[in-house]
Amino acid sequence: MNLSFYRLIKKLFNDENHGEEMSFLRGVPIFFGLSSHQLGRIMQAIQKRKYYAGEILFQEGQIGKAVFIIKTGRVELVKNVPEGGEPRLLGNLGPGQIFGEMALLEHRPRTASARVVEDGEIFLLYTATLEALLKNHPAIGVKLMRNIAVMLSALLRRTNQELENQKKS
Amino acid sequence: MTEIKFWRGFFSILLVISLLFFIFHVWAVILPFAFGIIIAYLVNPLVDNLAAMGLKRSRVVLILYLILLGAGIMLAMTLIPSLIKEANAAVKELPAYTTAIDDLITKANGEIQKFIKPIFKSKSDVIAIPFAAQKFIDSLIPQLPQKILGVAHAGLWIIIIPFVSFFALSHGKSWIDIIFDSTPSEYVENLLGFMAELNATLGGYVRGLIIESLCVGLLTIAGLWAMGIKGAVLLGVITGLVNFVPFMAPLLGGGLALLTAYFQFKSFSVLVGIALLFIGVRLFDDFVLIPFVVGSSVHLHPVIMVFAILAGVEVAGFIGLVFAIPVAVVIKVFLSVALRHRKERLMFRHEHVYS
Repeated sequence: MNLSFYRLIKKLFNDENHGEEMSFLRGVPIFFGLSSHQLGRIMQAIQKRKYYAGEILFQEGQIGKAVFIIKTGRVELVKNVPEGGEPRLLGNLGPGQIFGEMALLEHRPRTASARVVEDGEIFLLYTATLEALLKNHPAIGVKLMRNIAVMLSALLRRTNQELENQKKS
Repeated sequence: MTEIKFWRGFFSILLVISLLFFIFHVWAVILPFAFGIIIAYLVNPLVDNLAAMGLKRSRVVLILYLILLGAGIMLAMTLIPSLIKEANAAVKELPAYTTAIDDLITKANGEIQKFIKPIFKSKSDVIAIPFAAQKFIDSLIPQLPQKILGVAHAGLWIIIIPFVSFFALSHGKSWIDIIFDSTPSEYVENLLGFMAELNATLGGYVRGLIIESLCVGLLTIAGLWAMGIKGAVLLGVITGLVNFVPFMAPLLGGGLALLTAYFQFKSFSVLVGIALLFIGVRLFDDFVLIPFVVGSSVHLHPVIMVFAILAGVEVAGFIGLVFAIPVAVVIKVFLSVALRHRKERLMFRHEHVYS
């Protein structure tokens, strides 16, 4: 009796989309190590939007204010070259990948443009929303900042490796 | 290109002016809807917190509303009878109060005349306190039917406000999603950034302001009730309501409490006690509630404050007086965020990083 009542209550109140979105966010590197409740708070701060192929997410030089997480679809990052030549492709990103994370650390112009190449849904997390969240829940902030540091350190290692490879060739 | 920009700007300005014109004309209708949305905005963090645990938003809102409805009925059952009783008592005692005030003013005028007659001779009659309480009350009586109609209007508000706030809370996020889905992709980041900054700056401030006013009202009720002042609940509610207006709580609330206590006890020590109570509440507000509950650095220049209050009274009467400062703060934050965005854009307009 008690068990069936509990199941009924759970069925009435349980949000089915919540579990699915949470398991997706768990796989995003910036959110590693966050508890279910902490991830739930992040989910409340996230804004979702459907994007279609050809849409521009941001332009190079525009002030970065958000971090983008690809739920579905694909996004291309391109960088202009100073001489006005063909823009250089920096990466082609897919589901679970994150970009624009530097906006969480500094209000500076974007160093590349982002363009949707395949329809999909993208999660946007705004610096101001995140800052307000971190002010009230510093434990989330500590984990996020650690994850960003790990991501930047990996990026630095990869850049060093590329430089070494270029020198050798 | 320049022509397109010109027409785009022209139509944007035209749209804003038409919108303002429309709002100005249907102000009375918009007001309960605006209150509903404000209440939804205030309760939203609690709903977000529960939704973060994986609970369905619409069900959470429904349960929360049932609890709030129950609490509201209980509060109304305890507070409203006291308020009606106190208001009735105040109306009954009004003629005695007005006569006493008029007597006091006549006495004071007599004393003033005694002092200035030798100096100003026949022209001394001009200098007197130009206030007669009975005349003032008589001037209010013709407006009573209109005030009663206003109360009937408020009855409609009791239905509209919870209705609007319920839907704003349970569907709030999907409405915002619709706005963003219909915004051109290149503007989404800036628009959401703008809204996020507004929310981060204002959310805590507005919520804090309401909690602050509630605390001030409750402390005043408790203090006046402990001193045995008649109409403690009514005076506390008035003090809490006018707390949004700087210095109005101690001036209006304190002034009314002093008058009530004077007619009730005719004792100087009680007046000192009331003055100490209002000073104590004010100090508690300044040193505890504002730093720890409101805790925001949103400040307005005194000139802007006076202008906002006068404009608020002109547009919406007493409600305008109460909400003038919060609305002015919203406008100030809105403008400062917009200006900061523009400044950032100009500052970095030539900066492109080439690696």
